[in-house]
Amino acid sequence: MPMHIRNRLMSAVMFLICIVFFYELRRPKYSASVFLGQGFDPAMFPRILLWAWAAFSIVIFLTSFSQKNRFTADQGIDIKIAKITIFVPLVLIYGLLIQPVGFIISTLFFMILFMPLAGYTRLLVSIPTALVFTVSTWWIFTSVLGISLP
Amino acid sequence: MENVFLAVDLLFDFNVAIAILAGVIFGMIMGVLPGLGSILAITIALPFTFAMDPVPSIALVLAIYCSSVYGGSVSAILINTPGTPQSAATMLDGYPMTLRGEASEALGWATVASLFGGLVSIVVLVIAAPQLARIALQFGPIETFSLICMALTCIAAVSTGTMLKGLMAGIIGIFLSLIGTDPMTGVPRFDFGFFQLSGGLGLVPVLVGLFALAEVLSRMSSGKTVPIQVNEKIGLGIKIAPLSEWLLRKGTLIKSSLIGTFIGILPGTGAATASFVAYAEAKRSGKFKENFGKGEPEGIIASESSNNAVTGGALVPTLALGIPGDPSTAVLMSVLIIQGIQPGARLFVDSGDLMMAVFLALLICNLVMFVIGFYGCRFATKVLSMPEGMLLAMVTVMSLVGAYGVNGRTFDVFVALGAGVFGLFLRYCSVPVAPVIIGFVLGASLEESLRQGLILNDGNFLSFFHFNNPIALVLIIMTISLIILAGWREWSLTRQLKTDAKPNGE
Repeated sequence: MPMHIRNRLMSAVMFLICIVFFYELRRPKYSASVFLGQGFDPAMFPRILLWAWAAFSIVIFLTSFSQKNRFTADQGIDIKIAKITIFVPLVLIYGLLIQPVGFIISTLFFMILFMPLAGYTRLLVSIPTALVFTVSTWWIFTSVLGISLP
Repeated sequence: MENVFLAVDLLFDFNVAIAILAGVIFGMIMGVLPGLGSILAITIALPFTFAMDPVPSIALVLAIYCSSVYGGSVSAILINTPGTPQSAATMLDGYPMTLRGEASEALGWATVASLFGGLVSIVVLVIAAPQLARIALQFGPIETFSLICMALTCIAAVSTGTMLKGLMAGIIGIFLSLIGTDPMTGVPRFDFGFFQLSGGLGLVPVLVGLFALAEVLSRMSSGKTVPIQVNEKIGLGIKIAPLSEWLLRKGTLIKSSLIGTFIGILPGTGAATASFVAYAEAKRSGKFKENFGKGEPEGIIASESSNNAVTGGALVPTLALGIPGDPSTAVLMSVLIIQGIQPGARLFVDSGDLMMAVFLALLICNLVMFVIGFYGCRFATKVLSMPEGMLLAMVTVMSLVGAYGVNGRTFDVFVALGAGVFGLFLRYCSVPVAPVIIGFVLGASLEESLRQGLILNDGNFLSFFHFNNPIALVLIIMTISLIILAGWREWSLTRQLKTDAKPNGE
């Protein structure tokens, strides 16, 4: 996707986020506590920031139409959505399983599944590596550093 | 003097020794690997600091910080790929030396110059930081607000070429820091009904997500898993040139170290800028300037002494004012905050022994880095042949353990993942990520000082710019000047790119 289209997409997303936060600021709890803040409600500073955030979104959106703005050092990375749609749920499931299943089993499975996805397909190497890394990480955290992992 | 003895006592600990040794080795390995760098190295090490005492945890992070900058030079010299952007200038003369069969000599020049630069910056840090802190002790909320505004201008400096986006990213960072209970009224802000958000977004999950997970995601999705070819014959050891050769280049060594230290103190500039500025200066005034780019050791000296000198320089505003000098020190500052240490002027009054311990730890880190670099940098290159898929899996697990380990909450893992996806989106749209972290670290203090200042002045914001507050006024003028300077730089860069594009018919 060309950068000026990405800029439009990004500024539209940012502007929508601003609207959500502006809407949130309309809730009574933000204005009911003015006296506690000695005249300044808790929404004062966020409101200033949101105006600035929205203004930047609009300026970026508008400048994306300008031809001269194409001559910038603006170069984003290219991403393959297919890989992201596999990777993000995998991390999500891993995060969900850490607590109920335990660190060792969940990490072991995560690493064994992750490595082929990241381009390393030699299972004879990746399985022992995952096992050694998982157990040694667990040992360092629980026994050496005293941080409990599930 | 009492503080020195107390600091030595704090450092004379087995845990500190292990932390420094492990930090130097880990930092060097992370520095050698192209594209990972100091920020990611410190971020991955964050979970290890949770259970540590303050001194070993700070020593660990300082060791990683120094050695990762040095590690970048090893791959720059041996494989013509800088491990970190800070070492890009080293490559210009380092790799030609490798091609001539002088890799060991090039590594020797880089190692000694890095040590020298690091030591010079420590001297400046020891002298300048307490003086700066003494001045900062007189600061009230208005001065603090002005100072943070000035520090935020570093956002513009780290966003060259994409300044508008960088400024917006800074605002997003400040905004994210406001999520959670308002300290003045007790009202939970932007929690959207999630009680876990009432305590705010954790610094570690946000850091881990924006830097480490976003990096993993971007590498995964780009599919760039080309193995790096390392010539086995080139990493055979280090040779240090005789003193007479060093004396011929002493001017560049001293000048570049001072340039690096000074640039490190300036907000938002960083080691990459320092190394190129020092390299350009050495090319202009060096004794062997005509050999630059053909494998001249003076070029390596300029780049390496300056980029390592930045480490001490950047710590001056971080420790004395609580204002990070660059994105790496913003992450480093988070380690102090996790340890319950609030960087700033009071630190030198309340914990003088701790500060002295930090200075001495930095000194030891540099010396250990020299020894490990001397004997071990040839082994560090072995890491380059590690498959990227394996490395990314390990980085992901360490990052998530870091996010989970702060409070033992699964929710923080999701915050990290959310921050990772957000970080990837920002990279996709060419929005710099470092300003988000700088804003996130400084946001709460900015709001607090603004509100306190307004209460003290009956809500009159114009009093912030009054002659009654001369320090604040000077800081605000400096802030405006820095913004104008950054805007001018941005404008000239755009113009330059436009001129370069014209001959191609665009």
